[in-house]
Amino acid sequence: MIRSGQGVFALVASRLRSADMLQALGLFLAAQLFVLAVRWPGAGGSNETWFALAQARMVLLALAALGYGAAESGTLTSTRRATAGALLMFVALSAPFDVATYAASYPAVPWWWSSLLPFPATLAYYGVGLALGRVATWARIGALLPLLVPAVLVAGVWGDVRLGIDVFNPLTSLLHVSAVHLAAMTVLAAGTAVWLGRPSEAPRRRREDRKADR
Amino acid sequence: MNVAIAVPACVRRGTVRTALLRVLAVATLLVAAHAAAQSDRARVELGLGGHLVADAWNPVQVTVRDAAPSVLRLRIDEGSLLEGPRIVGYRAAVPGGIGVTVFQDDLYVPAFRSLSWTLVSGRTVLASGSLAAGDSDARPLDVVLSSSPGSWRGAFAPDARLVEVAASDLPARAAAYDGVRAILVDGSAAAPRAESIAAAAAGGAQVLLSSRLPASQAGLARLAAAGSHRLGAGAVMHVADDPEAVRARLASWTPQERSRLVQALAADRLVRPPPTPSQPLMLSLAAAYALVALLGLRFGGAPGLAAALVLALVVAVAGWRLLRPASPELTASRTVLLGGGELALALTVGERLTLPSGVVRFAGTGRPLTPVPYTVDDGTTEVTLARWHAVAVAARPALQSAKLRFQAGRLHNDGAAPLREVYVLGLGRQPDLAAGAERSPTPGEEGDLPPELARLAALLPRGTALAQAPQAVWIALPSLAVGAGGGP
Repeated sequence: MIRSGQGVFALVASRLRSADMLQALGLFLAAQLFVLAVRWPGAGGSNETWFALAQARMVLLALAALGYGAAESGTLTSTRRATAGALLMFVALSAPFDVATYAASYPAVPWWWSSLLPFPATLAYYGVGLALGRVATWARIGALLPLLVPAVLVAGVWGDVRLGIDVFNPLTSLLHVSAVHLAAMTVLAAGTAVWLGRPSEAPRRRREDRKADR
Repeated sequence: MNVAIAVPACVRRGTVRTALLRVLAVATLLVAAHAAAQSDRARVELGLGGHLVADAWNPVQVTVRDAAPSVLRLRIDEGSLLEGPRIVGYRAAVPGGIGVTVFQDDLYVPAFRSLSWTLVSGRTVLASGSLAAGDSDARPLDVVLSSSPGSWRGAFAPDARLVEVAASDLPARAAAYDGVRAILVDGSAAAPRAESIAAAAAGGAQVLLSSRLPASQAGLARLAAAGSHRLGAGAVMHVADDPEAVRARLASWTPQERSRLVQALAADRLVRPPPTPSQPLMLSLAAAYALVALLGLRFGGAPGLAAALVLALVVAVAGWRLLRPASPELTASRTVLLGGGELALALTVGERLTLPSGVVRFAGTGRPLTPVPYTVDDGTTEVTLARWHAVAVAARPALQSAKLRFQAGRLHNDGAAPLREVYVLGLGRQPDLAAGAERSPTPGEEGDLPPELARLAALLPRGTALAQAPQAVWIALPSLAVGAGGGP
């Protein structure tokens, strides 16, 4: 149960305890274990695990953020804040997989890129999900959200590939440092943070009700 | 007052044509003069005396007169129609200044489809040229230093690549003679420097000195004073002033296969990829971490989340420290020192394995032993490699003083370190040779050579001594009488 009066950390912990979040996190970690099982090399072979794991991790994070954002566009701000925080915890708690495989694989991309990019990217995709939910509600196509969420991700990948740019594609974002991708994700993440940072709707509604009573 | 002078049209046309022709002639003269001046100012010579040998190290000489510093660039395409182009690049800074500047280097030239070079100073091209696939000739050179080289033609095989080179054009670097099979000095032409002849012999060439060298060539006579003898990878031999005698000497000699020795040296990988923990161990640890983190979140609330984050940090740091290789590049090298007499030819193979993709650099001029594009840039060999790939590069052959050598039938270790696993082919294993020690070879146990020595031994003549030193194999070739010509 999320109460608006809780501290941010407790709010996030409370959100992570909920069944849906715990199951999503469990699935997310299990998927990374699966990638480890499939891609970890035998003795003497080249270690390419990080490339598969980084891509799978980023795509799953993007899907989770888009999905939760789209589903929670109509909920209280405190819930959305808690979910955003919980998604960032997904990034932090899956970081050991990324760090360990990065260390063993020795890719050419710098470690800070692989470690830090998922934070703004996850928040950015959550913001896009919130906007998608709003649009779907307005257009009265909320029932299509389960299709729209992966469709948005696929559209981003397709657009990047078609235009030869690297703005929204989570598959390639971690494989090389891209200032354009970082800028896009930072702007979207900042927009999401501002959106989530607005005063909660419940006190505002109470203030509006009091004005109406007078 | 306006004055108009009427000129007939035909006259006007003739004047214009004449003027145009004059301008054209002057321009042609200027261009020709400029080109002549350029060719006088700079000269690029590839190969010994301009004779290039494919699949061998060749000397490169640039002579520049009164020119600013310039850059020599070579582009060699060693690809094929099937594989497409495979480019070998070479770049060297050539110093300039008032007077004559001579730049010398050695470059491995593979069998090529095309070869082109430019010598550029600022925006000015001082020299340029190109060779086509038809100019790629892998036959070794037979060099004659004589005032009448034609008289020696009969001494050489009909298909021999007999060339005449000025004595002053002979460099004093062993690598420059990689593509030379024999050098004949009959004493009738200007004498070469003794250092050049010693370098040629030590580099693997058979040097034939006429037994009737004039007194002015006393330096060469001193080189041959000890009679026919080995020097480094080659030999210096006395020969009668007669084509038949020269032919007999040439036929009795089998040169050491330096390139095959290098291949044998690199047959085993020198660098191994870093060890990887087993998959079950990794999966177990990762699953345990995931389970503990989920349990902490489910039952721990905010403290559980904090504990899970701390655990994530600890696991990440531990994973990094345990799995991260110490260096992105792993390097190893091995040298075989082919000794005869006082000198040894050092053939070094360096291998480098890179974990991230990128350019690996080897100090010194070298050539990869696998067919990959590469660049030699001012004495640094650069190869672009994919992730977790290794390349072995053979360094330019160089001379050293021989540490292991035969003298009067006894084996000497002139080095500061003991030599282990000493073998004499045909006699068998010998006791280790301490630093500064000498010993007569005695019959020992045969057929117990380590694989890396066995591969080399298959290419060496009977009576050769081999010994292991740290990262090197010393080889002492037997005297010419024992080795019976030097063949394996």
